[in-house]
Amino acid sequence: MSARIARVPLYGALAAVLAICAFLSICIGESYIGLRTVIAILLHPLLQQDPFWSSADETIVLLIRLPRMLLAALVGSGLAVSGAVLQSLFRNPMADPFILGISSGAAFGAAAVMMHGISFGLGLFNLPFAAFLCGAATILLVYQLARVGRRVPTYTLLLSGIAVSAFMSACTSFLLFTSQGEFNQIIFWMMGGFAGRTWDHVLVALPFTVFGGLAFFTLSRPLNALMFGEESALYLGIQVERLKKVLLAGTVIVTGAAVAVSGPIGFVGLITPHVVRLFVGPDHRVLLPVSILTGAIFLIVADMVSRTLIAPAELPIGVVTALCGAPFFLFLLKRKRGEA
Amino acid sequence: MNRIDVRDVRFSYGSKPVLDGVAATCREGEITGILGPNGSGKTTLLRVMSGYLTPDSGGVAYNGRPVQHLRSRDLALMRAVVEQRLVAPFEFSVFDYVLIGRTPHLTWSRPETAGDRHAVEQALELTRTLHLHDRPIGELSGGELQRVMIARALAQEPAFLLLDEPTSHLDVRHQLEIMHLLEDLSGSIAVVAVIHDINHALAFCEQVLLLQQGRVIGQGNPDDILTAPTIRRVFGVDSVRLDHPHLSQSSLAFSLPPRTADERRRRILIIGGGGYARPVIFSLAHAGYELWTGVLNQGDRDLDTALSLGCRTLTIPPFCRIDEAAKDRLRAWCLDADAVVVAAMPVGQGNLGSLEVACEVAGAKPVILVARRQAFGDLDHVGGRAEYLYIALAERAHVVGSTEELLTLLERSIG
Repeated sequence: MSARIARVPLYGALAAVLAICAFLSICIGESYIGLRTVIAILLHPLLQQDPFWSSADETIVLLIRLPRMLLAALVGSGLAVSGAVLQSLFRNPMADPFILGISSGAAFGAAAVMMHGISFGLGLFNLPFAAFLCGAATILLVYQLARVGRRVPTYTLLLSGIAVSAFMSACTSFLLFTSQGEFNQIIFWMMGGFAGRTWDHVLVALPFTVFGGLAFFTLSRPLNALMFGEESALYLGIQVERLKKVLLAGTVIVTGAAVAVSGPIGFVGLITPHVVRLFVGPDHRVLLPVSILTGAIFLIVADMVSRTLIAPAELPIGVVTALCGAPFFLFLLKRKRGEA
Repeated sequence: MNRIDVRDVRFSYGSKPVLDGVAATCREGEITGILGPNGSGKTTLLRVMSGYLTPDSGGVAYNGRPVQHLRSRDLALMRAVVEQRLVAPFEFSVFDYVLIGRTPHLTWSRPETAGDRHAVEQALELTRTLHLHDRPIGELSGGELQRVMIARALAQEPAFLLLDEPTSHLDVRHQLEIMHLLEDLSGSIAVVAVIHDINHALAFCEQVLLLQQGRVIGQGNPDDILTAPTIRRVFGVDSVRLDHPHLSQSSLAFSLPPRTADERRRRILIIGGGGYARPVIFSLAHAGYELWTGVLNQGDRDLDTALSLGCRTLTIPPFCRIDEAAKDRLRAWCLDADAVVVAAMPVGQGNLGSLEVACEVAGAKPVILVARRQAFGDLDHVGGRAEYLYIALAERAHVVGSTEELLTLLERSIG
C-alpha cells in the first residue's frame, strides 16, 4: 500500500460526507423536519423568504439541533486530532486524549460542583469552568511529577498520567460515596453527551478547538520527525522538549474545552486516528486534517444515533461511540491485516 | 575547510565515567573511524559530537563554533546523523521518509518546494535507492534501509556526516558498497563513523580514533595505529596482516590469544622460511606455546607471521647465507628449547645451515619434521646435500604430515 493518496479528492469526499451527516442530524430527531425546510430556515436570514414552516420548527433547528450538531463536530474533531497528536507524541497506540488524566480531573471538578454546589458565579458555565480547571490542574500535576530536571521523558509522563488518573478517579468516587446528592446526574455527565447544550457552549468550545487544530496542523512536519524518535528529531534541528511542551499544552486546551462542554466522550480520540491511519498512513500532513474531518463526522453520527435510538429517551453518547466504534474498528483492523 | 574539534571531552552516565578526556579533530575530505571494543564509549562520543549529549567538561566545535552556542536548527543545517537503528513507523514511503531530512530547511510557513524534492531525489540517487521511491520503508531489506537512512541524512545537505555503525546489519557486498559510498561522500564533507570492522577502518579511513575505556589510545593513520600489539592490547585478540593479491591493501586475520597455562609454557624452536612454516607458527601460537624461530632472512614471509604473533626471532640480512655465527646462535637456541620443529621447505645454499643444525641437535632434543610428502628430492636445490640431510633427519626425528598430528605429538612428548 502506497502511503501517498491523492489528497484533494479525499478531502472533497470527506467534506461531502460531513455536510450530508450535518444536514441529516438537523433533519432527524424526535420530530422529523424535511431537508427543504431545514435549508430554508438556515438560509432565511439571507433570502428573507416568507416562512412556510412553523415557529416550533425554526426553534428546533436554530436553537437546538444546529448548535448541538456544531458542538458535536467541534468536540469530535478536537478529540480526534488530540488523540492523533498524543499517539505520535507517546509513540504508543493506546494513547488517547484522556491518557494524562484530564477526564478524571475534569470529572472530579464536575462532581465537586454538582455535589457540593461550589459556584464561581458563572451560572451555566460553573460546571464547564470547574471541569476545565480541574482537568488542566491534573495535567500540570502529572507534568511536574514526570519531570526529570529539564526533560520530560514520555514514558514517565505516561506512567504518572495513569497513576494520577487513578488517584483522581478514586477522589471522585469518594466524593460520590460521601455525599447524599444526585448520583445519576454526575454519572450521566461522566458518560458525556450534548443534551441541552446551547450556542453558548459552541462559542466556548469554538476558539479553543480552532486554535488548537491550526496549531497542530502547523506542527505536522516536526510531528512526522518526532515519530522516528526524539534523538532522531533532535538531529533534524527540532527542539524536542519545547515541541513536546507545545503539543501537550495544545492537547490540554483542546480536550479540556471539549470535556468541559460535553463531558468525557470516550473512544473518539482513540480509534479515529487509528482508522484514519489505516487509510492514509502516518504522515501528519494528511493524518491531522483527515482526523479532524473524520472525528467530526463520527460524533455527529453518534449523537444522532444516541438521541434517536430509544427516543424520546437519550442514550449517553459514550455508550454509542463505544458500541459502534469498537466493532467497526476491529473489523477494519482485521480486514487491513488480511490484505497485508 | 570544514572541521569538527573535540576538546578534552569528559562525560559520565551518573557516576560511571564513559568518556575520559577525549580530544580529536575530524576534517573534510577524510573519513574518521571511531574504533574500540564494546563499551569503550564510541557511540557516546558520537552522540557528544552530534550535540545530543552535553559533555560534563570540554566541548565540541563545528568550524570553530561551539555546539552549545549553535541553534539546534543551524546545527541541523550543518551536520546529519545516521543512527544505528531506525524506529517505526514503517508505513512511510521512502520518498516521504527521506523528505523528513529536509525538516531543518523548512518552516511551517514555507512548505517544500521543487528544490527540496530535487534534494531528496539527489540523495536517493547518490545512495542508489531512487527505484525504491514509493516503497514503504517497512518492506525494505536491511541493506536498502541502511542506504535509505543515509539518503535521509544526505537530504539534509550536511557538511558533516556522523554515522553509528553504518554497516552493522549488512552482508559483505552491502558493507563494501556503503563504505565506498562514504568514501565518495568524504570528498566534499567530513565523515565520522563508528566502525566495528577493523579491516574497513584499514581500507577506508584516513584517520582512526581508537578508544579504550573512554580514552583515546591512538589517533592517526590506521596503518600506524592498528598494529598487532595495539590490537592485542585493546581488543585482546591476535592478528596477522595478509596482503590482498591485487588490491593495494592489506587486511587482518584475527584469532583468540592462547590460554595461558599455569605451569611454565613450553618453548618450541621452529625452523622454517619462505612462508612454509606459517601453518606451524599459527597453530603452535594458538595452542599456547612460546615460540622462537630462526634463522630467517629479513623480509621473509614467515618473519611477518612470527612477529605478528609475538615470536622471538633470529634473523639475518636479506638474501644472505646462514653463516657459522648464525648457526652457532641457532644451535644455542635449539638447546634452550623444549622441542625443535622443522617445517619442510626448499633448501638452497642460503638456508642449508638451518637444516644442518637441525640434524646436529636431533640426538639431544626432540625434533619433529613436518612434511606433507616425503619426496625430499623436490626440496633439494643444492645437488643432493639437502635431500641427504632430510633423510638423515627423518631417521632421527619424528615425522608428521600435518599440523594436527604435530600438536598431538607435542602434547604427548612434552606436554
